[in-house]
Amino acid sequence: MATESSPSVLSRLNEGASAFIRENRRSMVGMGILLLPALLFVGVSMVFPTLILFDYSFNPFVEGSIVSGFTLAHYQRALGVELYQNILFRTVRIAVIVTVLAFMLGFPLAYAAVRKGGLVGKLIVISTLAPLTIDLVVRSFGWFVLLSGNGLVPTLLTDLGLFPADSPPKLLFNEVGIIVGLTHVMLPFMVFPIVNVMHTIPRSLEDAARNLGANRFTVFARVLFPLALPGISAGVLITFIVAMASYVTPAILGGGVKVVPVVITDTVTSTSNWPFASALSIILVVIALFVIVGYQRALKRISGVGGV
Amino acid sequence: MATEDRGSSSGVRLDRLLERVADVAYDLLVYATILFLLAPLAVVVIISFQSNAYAGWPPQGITLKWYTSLPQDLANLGVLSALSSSIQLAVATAVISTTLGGLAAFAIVRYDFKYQMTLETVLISPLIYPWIVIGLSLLLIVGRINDLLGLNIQLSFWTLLIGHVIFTLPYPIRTIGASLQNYNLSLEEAAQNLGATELESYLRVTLPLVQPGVLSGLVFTFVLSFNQYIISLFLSGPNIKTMPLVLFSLFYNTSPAQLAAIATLLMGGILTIVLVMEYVAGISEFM
Repeated sequence: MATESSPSVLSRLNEGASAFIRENRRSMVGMGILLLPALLFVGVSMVFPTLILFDYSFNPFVEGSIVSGFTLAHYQRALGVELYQNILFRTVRIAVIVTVLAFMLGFPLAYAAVRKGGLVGKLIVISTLAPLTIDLVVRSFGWFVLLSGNGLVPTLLTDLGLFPADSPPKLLFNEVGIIVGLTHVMLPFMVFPIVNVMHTIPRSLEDAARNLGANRFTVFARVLFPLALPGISAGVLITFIVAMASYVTPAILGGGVKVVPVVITDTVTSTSNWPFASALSIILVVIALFVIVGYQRALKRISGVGGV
Repeated sequence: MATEDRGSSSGVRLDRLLERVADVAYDLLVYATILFLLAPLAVVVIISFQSNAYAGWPPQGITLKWYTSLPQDLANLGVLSALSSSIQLAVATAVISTTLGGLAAFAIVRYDFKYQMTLETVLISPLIYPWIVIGLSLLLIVGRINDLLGLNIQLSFWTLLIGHVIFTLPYPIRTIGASLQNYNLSLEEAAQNLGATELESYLRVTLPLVQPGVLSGLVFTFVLSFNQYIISLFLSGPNIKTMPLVLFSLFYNTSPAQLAAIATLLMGGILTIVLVMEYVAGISEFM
């Protein structure tokens, strides 16, 4: 492999590249070369396709085929027909509940991971990291087994006397199943940003507040929450939007109870009504943008802290 | 929420008691949440060893038959070819996404420029962009390009790769950006003062120092791509199926115990990679 000429080729390459870096590293050219590939990629494969999708959502769909023209019919159907209204409301409702649950479980977990440290801290980090890396189908399948009629959870709940034995709770193929599954999916997205920001909050601040007579709740509300807000914001926004747009978990655990991404996929695969699917997608994007902008505004008004 | 204050000597008994109760309740909540996180993974492992093909509770009988029958079934069910496609796709996605993201992170951290925040937001935006819309719009645009330009672009490994790179791109920008921010610029300058060229100082000093961020970026993009379902659903053609797509159809077409055995092996593989990388590079700190 190593011939006589290879070292000189390498060193020439080294010198050439280094000279190029030296010349350009303080200029816009250098910055452009570094940034452009990623920016182009986002532009060409995310922004531009979305614009095409937006354009498509106004195309009429007549007798099973897409014709040219302009119509608002797909938006009227998505927002006006009761069936789709209910599905939209359900999708947003589930995303809100999942976000709240993920925060209520995630914040105490993140706090314990940082403040307890040691083995408990490691256990928390590993148990949060592990599900994050497992296939969504496998995790939904696990919940399917746990929540199904003769599964562990309904059996336990009736055995504990929380539900009468003749009417065990129905936890599958409804919103409860979707919420449980999605909370499990989103919890790591909530925990890790909070863990990272919590590492930067000195414990002495909490001790000081407690010594001055603050109780646990006051310490949380007045010290921890404001300081952890950047991490919480990142967690909340990601949780809400990913939960709203997720497909696998609602498809497996929701059964006939559908959310918008399931309807989009059904529409494309069964009727090929692309314009309607496009309109539903654009509605998802608009809700996401609305939530991000609204959240950032609210945050600025409270404390002047940025989000994601 | 904090542990009991050791220094305080004042305190009525009732207060102390309430503190204890709150501590215990808090610990219970934490351990219950850990149980919640691990239960669906554990149950899959458990039912893969039960003799009943259908999953009820409690599991009945212990058997290895769902594992011993796998060698013949895996090929028939299309698992092996899907696994191979998924691994190739995830490796390619990890390398491209981490390279693009790493370069961009370098520019964002090292340069001061106008609209820096805006550019960063644009590059991070796929993180909070509905994945289903990425898949749908890319599929739509492939169709449009074929129609308008008279081309014949087939859905294949390459269309999947584009979709996977775009949705994973924010992760390496964040992990490598975080590594670069903690990094002392003077080390690079010192290397150059001691005679290293720019390229050498980047490759021999900067790269090793930001290695945890690079490794975390590679691991997260690999795992995200390997598990991606909805984008792959739209962008995979008749000739290529990824692992999540096959698992999804197995959920409807095979017995729970059989699926559980396949899923258990898959979990074992992924968790080994992730835990080793957590030990080596502390990847969770970059999440």
